[in-house]
Amino acid sequence: MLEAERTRVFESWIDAHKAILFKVARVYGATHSDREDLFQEIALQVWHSVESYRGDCTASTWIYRVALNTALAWRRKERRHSHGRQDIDAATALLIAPSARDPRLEWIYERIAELDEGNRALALLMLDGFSYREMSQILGLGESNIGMKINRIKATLAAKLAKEVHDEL
Amino acid sequence: MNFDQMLEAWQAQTPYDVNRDALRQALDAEEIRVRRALRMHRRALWFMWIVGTGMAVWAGFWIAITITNGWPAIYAVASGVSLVVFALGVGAIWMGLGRRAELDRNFGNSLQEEARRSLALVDYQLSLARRAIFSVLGVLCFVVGTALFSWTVNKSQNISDVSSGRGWSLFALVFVALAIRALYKGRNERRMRKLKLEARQRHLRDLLAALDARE
Repeated sequence: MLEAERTRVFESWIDAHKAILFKVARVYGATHSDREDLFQEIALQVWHSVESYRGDCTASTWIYRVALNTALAWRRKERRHSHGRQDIDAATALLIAPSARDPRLEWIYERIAELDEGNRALALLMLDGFSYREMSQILGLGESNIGMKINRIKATLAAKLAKEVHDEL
Repeated sequence: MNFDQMLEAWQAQTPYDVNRDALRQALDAEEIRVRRALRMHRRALWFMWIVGTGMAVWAGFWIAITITNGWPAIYAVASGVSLVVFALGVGAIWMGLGRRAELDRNFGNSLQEEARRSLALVDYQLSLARRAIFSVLGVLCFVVGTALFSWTVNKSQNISDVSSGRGWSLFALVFVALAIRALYKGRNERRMRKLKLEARQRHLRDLLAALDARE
C-alpha cells in the first residue's frame, strides 16, 4: 500500500471513528493524561494496522478490535509511554473537548469504568449498538455467552441507576 | 435517569475533536522511532553475525595453522573451544529472533486471542527470566572463549607481555570482578522483572477467566 493511500485511509478512519478511540481511552484510562496517552497509542496502532485491514469486517469493528487490544497491552506498558510527544508543548493537547457536554455522560463513563476489563468492552459495544455477532468477532466469545454477559451488565447498570434515583430522593 | 435515557444520552454524545497537528507530530515521531528501531536491530544483527562468524573463521584458521605447524595440541583445543562457543552464540541469536517473530502481533486478533497471545508472551518472558542464568553463562563462555583464543595466539607468537604470569593474573582478577558484578546486577534486575511479569500474568489470567465465565 502506498504511503499516500495509507494516510488517506487513516485520516478517513479518524474522521469517522474518533469517537471509538475516545470511548476506549475514556473507560480504560484512569486520569486525563492517561486517556490522552492511550488515545495516542490507539491512534498509532490504528495507523500501523491500516495495511493489515482486508475488509472482511466493517471499519468500526476493526478499529474497536485494535483499540481494545491496545488498551489491553497499554496497561502492561503504562508509565513507560511518552511516545515522542515529550518534545511537544504540554498545552498542545491531542483531545479537544466539545463546548457542551451532557453531565449524564460522565456518570455513564464512571459506571462503565467500574466494571471489570472484559465487561467494560462489552458495555461499550452494547451502548454503541453492535450486534452479538459483531461483538463475538471483536471479543472472540460465543454469542450465547455474550447474551448472558450483556444481561448481567444491563442488570448491574439498572441497579446503579435505581440506587442513584433512590439517593437523589 | 432510566436505562432508555442513558442510551439516549450515550448516542447523542458529541465526540472530542482531535488536534490534527499534534496527531501528525505523534505519527511522524512514531515513524522515526520505528525506522530507528529497525535500523538498530539490523545493525546489531549484522554486528553479531560479523563478529561471531569472523571469530569462528579466525579460530578455524588457527586450528589449521596449529596442525600444519605441529604446534602443541593445547593450542588446537583452545581454538576449537573458541570456535564452538562463537558458533553457539550466533545460533542462540538466530533462535531468539525466530521466537520473537513467532510472537509478533496480529492486528486482526479478537480480545480473547490477544489476551492469550499476551499471556503466551509473558509466560515466555518468565521462562527467559528463569533461564537467564544460561545467558550469563553464555556471556562468560564468550569471554572465556576470547581469552583462550588470545592466549593461543599469544603463546604461538611468543608475545610474552600479554602471556606473562602477571598479565594473566591481572586479566583473571578483572574478569572475576566483572563476572561478580554482572551476576549481582543481573539477579536484582531479574527479580524486579519477574515480579512485574507475574503481576501481568495474574491480570491476564483473570481477564481470560472472566471472558470465559458464563455468568
